[in-house]
Amino acid sequence: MYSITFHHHARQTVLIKDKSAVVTTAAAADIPPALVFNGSSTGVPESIDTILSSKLSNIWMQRQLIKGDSGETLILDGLTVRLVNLFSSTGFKGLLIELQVADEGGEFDARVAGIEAHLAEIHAKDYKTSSDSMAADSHNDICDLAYQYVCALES
Amino acid sequence: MVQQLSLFGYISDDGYDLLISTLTTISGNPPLLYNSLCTVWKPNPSYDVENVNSRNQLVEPNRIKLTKELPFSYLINETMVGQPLNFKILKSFTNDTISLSYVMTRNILHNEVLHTSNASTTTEIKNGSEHAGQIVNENDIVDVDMDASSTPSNRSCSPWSLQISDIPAAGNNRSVSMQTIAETIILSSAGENPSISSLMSGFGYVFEYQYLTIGVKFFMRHGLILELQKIWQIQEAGNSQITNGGFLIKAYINVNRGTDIDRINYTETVLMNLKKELQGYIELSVPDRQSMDSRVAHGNILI
Repeated sequence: MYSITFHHHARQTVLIKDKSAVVTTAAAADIPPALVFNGSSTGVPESIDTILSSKLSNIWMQRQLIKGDSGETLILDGLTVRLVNLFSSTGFKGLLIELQVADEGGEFDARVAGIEAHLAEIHAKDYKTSSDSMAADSHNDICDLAYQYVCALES
Repeated sequence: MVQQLSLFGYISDDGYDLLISTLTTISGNPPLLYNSLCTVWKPNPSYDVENVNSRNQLVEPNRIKLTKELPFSYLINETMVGQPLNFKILKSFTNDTISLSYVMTRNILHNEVLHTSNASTTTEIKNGSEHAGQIVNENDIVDVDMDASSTPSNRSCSPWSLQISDIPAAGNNRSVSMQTIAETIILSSAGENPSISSLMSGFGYVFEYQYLTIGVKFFMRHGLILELQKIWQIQEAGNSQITNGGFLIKAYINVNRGTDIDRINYTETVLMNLKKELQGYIELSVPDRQSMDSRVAHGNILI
């Protein structure tokens, strides 16, 4: 199971297990109002990681934590590039590059190829790309993004 | 971690009207109708999980509570369709009968039917009750819900709140019940198997039981919430109302941080004041803490 928290997506946490994903939130502002109204939610959620590591820690144990701090976001002519250095407790894990085009028909593949050409220029050959979607028939942006993170980082 | 301070009471069906007008006067707010479907999950008994974690700390296996709201169209029957949805409708629910069937809740948990309220829900309910007790295969579901919005792109589960509660705080001379609740919100899901039940089995949990609450609530001063509840247990064998002949009264306040002692003491005073105010009319009391214990290991049967 993988748990990915996106600080650039309203602190939502995506849990991925067996090609299925669930989006959870720890932000009180994101709770659907209906859940607060009928008393289902107390209005003070915590992160699913906290619950896994406290209440469910006899079932789940954290094996590895990879953290990307102080990344940069660049917008290049409709292409959003996010760069962050990833560290684990043992040291540097790698540079993560997230590419996103704003509109559907934005020649995404050509732009990825452009970035890959840049990487070849600086002789960075050992990289992995992923643009997979979790399931062919459904699209959930943040789940797909989390899944791509997992695919790119898995070694 | 939220601290929930609460008091419970009971009133019979006959006293409902008077209580509603009394509480409306006390709170200065009208009663608001609400409902919630609560499903309780326990650790999968086929896994042999130890009660200690990697740091050798004792972790008692707790039940997980998943709660969400339902569209009222799922709950009312044909005779109630024309009525306005307000507190009066609760008086119609005097017996075990409720439109929500086990098959419908199972569909919700397995994502087989879209759960947003739409024009076809009335027929959905009808078909749902016709199929009650039978095994509904996927083809039936497709017939039930031919809505365009039920395309596979909407297979994500709807929002749920996921809660794990501790046993209420111990102590002989407690004036209110105090329980710690850990909570997170499930917003949506995706992937090959996005239903809530498969997500829970991914956690290592299996379904145990479920209940439906329909009630009215009053928002009072100091964050105090007072609820009158009718509760049904939704089972495969049929539904049964736990609160037969009356209403459960729950008065509670949530304190955001368990370390906020000042706030907890203040909240306790607020609840005690309410208790004093209603004394002689409704007896609000502290429930047995064993009955609110969600741990699995102690062989406690909750309902």
